[in-house]
Amino acid sequence: MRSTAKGPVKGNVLVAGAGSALARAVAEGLAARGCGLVLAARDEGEAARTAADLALRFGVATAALGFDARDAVAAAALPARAEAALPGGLGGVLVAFAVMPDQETVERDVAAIHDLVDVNVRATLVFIEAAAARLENRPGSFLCAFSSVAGDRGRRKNYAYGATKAALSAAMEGLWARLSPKRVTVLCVNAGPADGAMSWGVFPPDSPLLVSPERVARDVLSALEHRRRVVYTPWFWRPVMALLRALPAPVFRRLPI
Amino acid sequence: MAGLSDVSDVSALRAEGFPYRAARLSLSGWGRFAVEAGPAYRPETWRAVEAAVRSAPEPTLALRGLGRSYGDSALNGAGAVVLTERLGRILAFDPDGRTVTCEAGTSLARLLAFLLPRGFFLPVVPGTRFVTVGGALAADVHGKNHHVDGTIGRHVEELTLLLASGETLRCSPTRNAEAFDATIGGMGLTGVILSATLRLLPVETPWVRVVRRRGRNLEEVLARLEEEESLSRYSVAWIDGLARGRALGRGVLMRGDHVLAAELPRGKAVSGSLPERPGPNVPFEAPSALLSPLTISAFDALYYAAGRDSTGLSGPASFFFPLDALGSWNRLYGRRGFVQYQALLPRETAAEGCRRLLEEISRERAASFLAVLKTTGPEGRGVLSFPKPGVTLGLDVPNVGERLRPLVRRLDEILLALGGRLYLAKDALTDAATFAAMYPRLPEFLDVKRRLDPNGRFSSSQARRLGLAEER
Repeated sequence: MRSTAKGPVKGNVLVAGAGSALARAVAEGLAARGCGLVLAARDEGEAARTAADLALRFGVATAALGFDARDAVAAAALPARAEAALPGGLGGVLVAFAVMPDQETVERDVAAIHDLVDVNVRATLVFIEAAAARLENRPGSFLCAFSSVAGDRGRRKNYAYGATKAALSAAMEGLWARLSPKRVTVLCVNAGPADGAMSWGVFPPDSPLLVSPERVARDVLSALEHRRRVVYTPWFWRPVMALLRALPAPVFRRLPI
Repeated sequence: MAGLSDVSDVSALRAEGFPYRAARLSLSGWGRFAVEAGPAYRPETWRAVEAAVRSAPEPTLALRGLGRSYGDSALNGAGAVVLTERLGRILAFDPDGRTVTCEAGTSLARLLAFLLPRGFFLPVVPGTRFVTVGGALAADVHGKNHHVDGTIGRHVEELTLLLASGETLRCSPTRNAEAFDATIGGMGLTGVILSATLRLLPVETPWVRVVRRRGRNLEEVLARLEEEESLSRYSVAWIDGLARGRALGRGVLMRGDHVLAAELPRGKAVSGSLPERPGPNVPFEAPSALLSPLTISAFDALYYAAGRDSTGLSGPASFFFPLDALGSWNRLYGRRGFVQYQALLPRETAAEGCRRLLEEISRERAASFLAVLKTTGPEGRGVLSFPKPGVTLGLDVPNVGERLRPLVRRLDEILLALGGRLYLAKDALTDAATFAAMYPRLPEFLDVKRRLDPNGRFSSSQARRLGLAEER
């Protein structure tokens, strides 16, 4: 589950999907620890604004790249572009891009399924392989991906998105087996619903289930420093999901969730 | 991030091709007086702001930063509210040119936490640092240095305004100046400020040297305010809202200046910062009975601590933002909330006006907390900006129920008769005719607004009440 060694997070970190509030919060936590940052987002202007803010407030080197996760070729090329953008090589990679269409949309629109799988599975797996190839020979580096509690169980209201996150979680487990002997931290973040653009208008803003981006960032940074394999954020999702996974499907189906 | 429980609350109004959902929020101004529930957007990117402006299905949008305006400036009835809180990045800093550029949702607290350790202060700060830059420009805020430095609008080098059409307009005092002058103090009704560049004040230390003096009554306080304003960059008086008769308007005058490094006593740190987050929240709505003893003791503490004359060093937080030490002090007024009444009177009628306003409030036994008195200097460029030469008096008026509206109406009448005006960031109850009489440049503002926003996309409950925007 965890190795005993604890170490600082350091070096330049590539954040793929830097446009979301979650990714920005983790990037800020990394900047506060002195990491250089390459921020890649579909909207390069947004990445550039976040890069400017973090460089100014934390005095770290930053760079911004435009990156469209619908393009798997671009995903494969991103780690090399990031290394070219900021001298010093990559010490870590954060996978934070994903789409979450409504389940009803997925059920009536094949294009939405294509888009979901293109971004959350195709580009994501291509990207983490490209990242793994670079980090493999860098002991002390890390690869961290945002999965979701939705990937732990297939739920009537969200199974398509959940299926893509289950794929990511499985890939991260395998990567952990492959890279942790080489002293590369591989962390899968199973976040509950977070207070960001994806959940705005879906959950009431004062819902006790919503986790703030800052809290997610604290949990992720702490898990990276402790070289964990899996972190649930907030922590209560771990026992909740353990319980839900133990339920037989006919029972799970009847839950009002 | 999908979770385990969905909510039925997805906006039914989601337009085709507009990918953002609105959340239903119940919002109020800082006075917690009017509460309105309605759809709200919280864009995290400039594109999302633009999408909301162009395509959100609600008829109008009101802009809202940290919600520190007291009344209904950032509420919008059946329209939507756009929250800027997720757009708070510092975009550029030029220590040689003494400027900083940031997004409109950046709080002054964040800016000061960044600037103070680097030897700069904001040229104008209001009584709280938990306002956004966008809100500060929209209200064209003033501070304790208005008599020297004017409003914040005077220190804006440039701003980027997103118009209702989706175009962005760069405005400054020399470029698109009409749009600039209508936006400074324009309460968010001309467009969305995406970013702004502010000129900064270099300071050698974070400390302020404060001189306190007591004034035994209103006349003495006013006379001393005028005589002291040339002595310091900052000056203000806190007056006792409860004192009556011969002691009416008794108070404490405070003036202050930034301390130079060479003047700093041993043991005081040359550099320092200000926390970015507020102090602990008032955890509950106070029963109204708590207020008066608290008020009295707060005032007495201040009054007697001042002694005859005292000079001391103060940190920036306690001098500029004494109320920020409590997270949500507005809860002290209980569930029914309060309104702020901030009046500006020309110097000739200031003494009479302040006396009559204080007496009127004291007659209703609505007085509470401290009142703030401050001299103001020349008008700035903002077409609807509040300050002009005179004296401004700010009072909290607790919601006394049915008596509140008639009381505020009487206060408005006093103010109008004496050539005064009200501050839009505080107003909650005035009517359109009174407002028009107080702001003679209103037609000029409406003309520019019509050109920048021909379909009336930007509005607010206050704007409709006061005739700043049409009913839609």
